Amino acid sequence: MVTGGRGFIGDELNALRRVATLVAQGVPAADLFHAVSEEVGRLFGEDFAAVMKFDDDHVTVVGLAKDFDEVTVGTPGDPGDRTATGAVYRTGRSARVDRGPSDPPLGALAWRVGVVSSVSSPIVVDGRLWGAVTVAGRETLPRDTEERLADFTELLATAIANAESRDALERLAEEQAALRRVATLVARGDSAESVFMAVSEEVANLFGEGLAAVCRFDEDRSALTFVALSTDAAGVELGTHVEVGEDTAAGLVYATGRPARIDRTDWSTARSDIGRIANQLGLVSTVSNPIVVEGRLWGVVSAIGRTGPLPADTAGRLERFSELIAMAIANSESKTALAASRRRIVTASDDARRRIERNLHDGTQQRLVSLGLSVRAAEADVPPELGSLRSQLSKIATGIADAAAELQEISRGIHPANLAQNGIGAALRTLARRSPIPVDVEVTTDSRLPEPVEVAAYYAASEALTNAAKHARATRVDVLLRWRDDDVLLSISDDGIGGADPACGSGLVGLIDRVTALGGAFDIQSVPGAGTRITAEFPLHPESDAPLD
Amino acid sequence: MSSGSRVALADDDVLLREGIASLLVRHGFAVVGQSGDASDLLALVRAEQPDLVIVDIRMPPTHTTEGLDAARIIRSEFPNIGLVVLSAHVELEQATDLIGQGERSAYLLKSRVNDVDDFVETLHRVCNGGTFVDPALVQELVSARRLHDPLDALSPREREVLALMAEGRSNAGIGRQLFVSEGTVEKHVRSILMKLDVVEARDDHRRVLAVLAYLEAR
Repeated sequence: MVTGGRGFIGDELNALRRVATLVAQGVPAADLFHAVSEEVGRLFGEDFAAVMKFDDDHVTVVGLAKDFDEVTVGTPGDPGDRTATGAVYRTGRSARVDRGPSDPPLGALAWRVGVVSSVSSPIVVDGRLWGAVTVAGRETLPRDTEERLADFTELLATAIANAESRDALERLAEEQAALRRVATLVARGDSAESVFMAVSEEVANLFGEGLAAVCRFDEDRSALTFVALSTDAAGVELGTHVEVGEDTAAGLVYATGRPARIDRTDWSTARSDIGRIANQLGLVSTVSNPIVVEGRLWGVVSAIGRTGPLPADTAGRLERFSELIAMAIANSESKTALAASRRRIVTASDDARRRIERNLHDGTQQRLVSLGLSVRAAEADVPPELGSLRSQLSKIATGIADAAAELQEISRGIHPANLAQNGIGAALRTLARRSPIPVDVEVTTDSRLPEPVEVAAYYAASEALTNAAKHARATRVDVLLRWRDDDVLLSISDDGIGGADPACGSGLVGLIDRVTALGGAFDIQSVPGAGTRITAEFPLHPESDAPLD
Repeated sequence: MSSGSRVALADDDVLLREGIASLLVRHGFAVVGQSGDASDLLALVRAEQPDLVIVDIRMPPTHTTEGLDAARIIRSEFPNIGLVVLSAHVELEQATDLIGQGERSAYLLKSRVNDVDDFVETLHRVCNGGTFVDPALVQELVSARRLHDPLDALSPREREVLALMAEGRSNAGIGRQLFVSEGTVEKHVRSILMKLDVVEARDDHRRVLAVLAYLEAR
């Protein structure tokens, strides 16, 4: 049937409307491609009508009006030199061939069914040649076939563009959600390690076909340590330490400080440790992004593909994750620095008190004593007839002695001189002896504790005893110091009126500061009428404060 | 016997050391040498073998317990040399450390040297085999509050006697101090020991240790 005019324009409009409805409904792409093929086949009265998708070096049938032995949906093929589809593939423009196409597999089919004419029209999505709609006729197809196919390819292009942007949106939403989850951890101040783990899981799910890793470069950066791995990375141990290797994405990041990708399918010949790991994980594509913490290259976050090359935009999308990791590290480092600085402040003030105590005792007090001695000597030398001078000198000597005694009392409050020498047990017992209310001291260790812990425990007990005597109206206080496995527990309980509030006394606040500066925990229970119980726990090995690198 | 006693003196504060030295000379002691640190003191003691050593507890290099450590060495090498350790502050641990090494020792607040007569008397007592603990430390121990304090069973007079026992005074010395006869003191002491369930010690120095230990542990 050869028709030159537009005789069945009504049919065509109806067909287009049906396709447009499907597009609007957002049906799955495969259904849409099938529907278009059917409509085109029906419109031209031909069996062979197909939607083709173009890839780098081949075409794939993605929609077909009717299945054939040689060709079904999913059949790939060479676009061919002499087919209409091949011409579209090469030129990007619609094409018509009015003789039997001969390239397989379409050629074989065309020959069998007796195709004499074929027309193909390009599907162009956002300016890029996506594929084509092709119809083949056992009679010569109408002259306006190309134009009429174009109506369908335009609809298809719109639908594909929609679907692609929907996919992209979905992907973006997933990515945003993942970033938000990680950002929440960072903002909450979770440990850097837990942020590493979260990122490796999220990256593995988003880009990495189940695989991702966070690695930290060594100080000299020629080697790296795996600090986080996605759960799928079975067989690779956390903490694995390897040379970076020159042929790895991490190695390239190390060399350039920029994102890097390596697409390599065969790692069986790799000699480096990292190559062996690559082989073990079966990776074929790696994208690594630098983690830069305050201007210094700290490590990499890597997405790993096992089936094919990772998408081209992977590095760009990884960037936010590496930024979040960097932030978590910087947070943790500044937290560590802050803790260290608090410790230094406490230590510095302890040192100052110790110095003052020593200066008072060995300096001023000693001076007063020798001054007293001189006055006594002068007193002894006064001739008997100058009795009043002698008694004056005696008064001066007594006054000096009193001043020395007062000074001793003051310096005793400034720093416990026997703490450093005799340890916390002796110092607590001395405190207890000097307390105006009965104090029972129980210390479960004779061993020496770290000096900052002894000093902090001493001041905590001293402050608590002072409070118990001054404000609590207590009749007894129990002081317990117990050395447990990894920490020291100090508890001071009294049977007083309770109701102590840290907000009301700087003594308690200073105490809390002192305990927490050592990484310890402080607790006060002071219900009115039920006494006050202060507990402080001092870690003996505050490892969590160790710097991250 | 102690008049004319030969004394070695160690304190890193020259002014104070000189002050004490002149006090000693004024009261008839012979100062055989002075030193500013523990090792000089040991050399001095070994060379001169004085009757009495007066040593500051905090001296170079660490300013912690050099004097006490030197006293321990002197005690082991020359058990008959009297030892007077001066300290800027009094600690029970240091007192029992020194007294525990034997008799002829005194643990004193440095400022006691200003009570010249008492100080000189203490030196004489140490030379004669006595033991002495600074009253400030004893006072701290006696006045420490206890929930069920066995000392509550003592009369005020008995408490006085107990404190003087802790300071290292003999019964005769306590009698002189309190203007009572030695016999009266003995009665008090027996009563105290019975009430507190403490065994009578053989000599003053052991009595001091026992009373100190009791006071701390009660």
